[in-house]
Amino acid sequence: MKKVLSILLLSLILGTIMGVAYSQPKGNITITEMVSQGWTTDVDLALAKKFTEETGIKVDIQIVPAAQHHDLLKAKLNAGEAPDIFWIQTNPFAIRTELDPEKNCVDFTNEKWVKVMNPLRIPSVSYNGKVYGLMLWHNSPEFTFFYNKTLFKKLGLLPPTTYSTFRKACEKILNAGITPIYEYTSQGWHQVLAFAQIGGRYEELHPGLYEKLNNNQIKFTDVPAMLQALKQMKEIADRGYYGKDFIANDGTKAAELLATGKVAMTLTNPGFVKEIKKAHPECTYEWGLFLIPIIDNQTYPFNPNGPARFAYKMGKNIDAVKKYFDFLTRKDNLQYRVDNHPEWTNVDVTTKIQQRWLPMEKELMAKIPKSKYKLVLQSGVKYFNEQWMEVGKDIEAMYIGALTPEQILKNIDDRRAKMAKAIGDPAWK
Amino acid sequence: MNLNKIYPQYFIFPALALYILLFIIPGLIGIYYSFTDWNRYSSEINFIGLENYKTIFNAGSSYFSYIYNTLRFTVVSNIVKIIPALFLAIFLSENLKGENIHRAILFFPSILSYLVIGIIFRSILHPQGLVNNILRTVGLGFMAKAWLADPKWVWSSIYAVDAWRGIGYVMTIFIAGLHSIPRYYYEAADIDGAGFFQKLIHITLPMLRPAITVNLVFGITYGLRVFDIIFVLTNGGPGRMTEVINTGVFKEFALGTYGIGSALSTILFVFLGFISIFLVRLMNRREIEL
Repeated sequence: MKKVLSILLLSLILGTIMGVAYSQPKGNITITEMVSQGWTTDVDLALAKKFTEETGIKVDIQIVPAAQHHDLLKAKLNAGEAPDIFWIQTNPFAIRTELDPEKNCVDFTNEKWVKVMNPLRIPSVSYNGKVYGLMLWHNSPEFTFFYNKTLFKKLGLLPPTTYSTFRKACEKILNAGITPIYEYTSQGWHQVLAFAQIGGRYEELHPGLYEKLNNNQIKFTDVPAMLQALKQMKEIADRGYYGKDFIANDGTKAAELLATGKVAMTLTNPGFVKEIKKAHPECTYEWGLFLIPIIDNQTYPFNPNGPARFAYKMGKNIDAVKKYFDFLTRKDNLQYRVDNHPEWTNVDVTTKIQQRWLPMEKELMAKIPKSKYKLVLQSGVKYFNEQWMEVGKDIEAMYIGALTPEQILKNIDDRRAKMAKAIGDPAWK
Repeated sequence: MNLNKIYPQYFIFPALALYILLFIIPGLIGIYYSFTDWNRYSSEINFIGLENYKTIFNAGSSYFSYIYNTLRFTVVSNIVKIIPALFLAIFLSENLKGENIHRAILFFPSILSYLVIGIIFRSILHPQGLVNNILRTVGLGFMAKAWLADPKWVWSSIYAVDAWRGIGYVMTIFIAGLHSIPRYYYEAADIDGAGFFQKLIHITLPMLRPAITVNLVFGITYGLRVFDIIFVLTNGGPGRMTEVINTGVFKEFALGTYGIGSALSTILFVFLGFISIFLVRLMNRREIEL
């Protein structure tokens, strides 16, 4: 009897151990995902959780402060220690210099979800005919001025369309004891938008500019409109339109300051209204959008590029990552993203889902003729997007008086030349 | 047991081999790469002589300010840590009530990670942070500043945070040094009627030379290699005001321009090498004197 009991006990123990051993691979896989702070929200965490519930594969989302994400990711890639999934802002020119995809990224060309992305976005995540990234991004008017319509009406102001009217509006708002613009530079990227989103205006004033810049037939320092734009940005800061101590701002107070009427406008996306409504349901202000009127810009910032997810080629969980990307691009999860995203009103995909466009987006887009839809600087000009954070540092330095607008343009040219020469771009030989 | 036994010299070979393999060879390779155009975008590595160094030492170059900032940080951060730490050590060696608790409290910041310190102090030193709120509460609102964003105050804020973190560690070394000074020197000085400063100058400081040297060596090498505290507090900003050599190296490597990154590292290595040799010689001479 003892012998039988011993055998039964041993079998039970062995069975348990084997059972645990067999179930381990499913429960033990953890995908690491590194993302910049501003690119992810609770909706990504919720979807990751849902994915874990379905598959048993965990997703460890590492959120890095925006000011450090780019350098940290590049350092990790260069050191061969990248996470399984990493996000980066890319475009057809930058993908090679930013990622060296053939060396670092998993080829997803044959995955079904490639067709889910808007075809206009695919070149940004492709290199040499192969697709390496998944870009799930919105298609709203990106980084235009988001303003307090109620306040503007009260002060008798119309949305400005020229720099001169913009300055007058800012002056009137400032005199009313309200900070005209919420700007934040400490994250390193936001201050570049005012310069780069008006790329279409540079093209208007200097036809063929992007092509000439990409062929090294002209430099940033040769473009008076760019110099003027930087000077106007500096003037805005010097006149106090960004408020006191804006250099210390990190973006986290934007919703609160706008909702409480302490600030009149900021450069952001229209879906920001959802964040305001959620955090400040008592707020009754009406909101609107207008284009960045620096150097009298009235071009619509068309940008088919955005932050995208890439998978590390040397990663150990490539199959799990593929499952995760399949999951994220499934119709129900795309709909979940639109319905639950704190800021977005749509996702730019080919799958038919219920988008949630806001009236203010429709209003702005209806006003602007298609001929005014122009590619933003970072998507049209080579070797600019890669130095976005460096330009951010330079603009911050300009605001504190440590650099002149001329020096900023020269620095951009120098960095472009350095990158172009390093990559062996024939236009720079 | 024969304590005077002389072991054969080849016993040193395993350690020496490891040292050469892990430190000397990578160091020499790094120095070699500083004379090349090595970068992430090209598989070719070409020898370009002193070109990277010319770029760094170019009069208008931002790299030059990185070197200047590093040297400035090294000098000032040591001054603001060593002098207060010395007086704190003397104060806490006077058999005070609860001196161990005081020491533990002062040492505590040294064990915190820089990331934690960065998060805490970015919040405390924010224009709407604790420091400014206290100033406003006590009627000193006019003194409120954007401590980490105001060009006039950013370095002082970094020194202050660095001192807050490092003083306890420096103080601990001084306390160990103070305990090794025989009490009868002070008793004899008391009989002769010496005051606090006379005892400090004629007994404490000369007898504390080894501890001072240790703190200087640690402090200077730390100062020249500084990275974390700057990275977490200001990331080199506002603008590039607080960039130091190592944040520059980090950024060059992130940009994929390894050649310039290696040249900056080599410059740091040369600084560290010269200063270490000088300090070690100084320490040896003083120990002989003592």
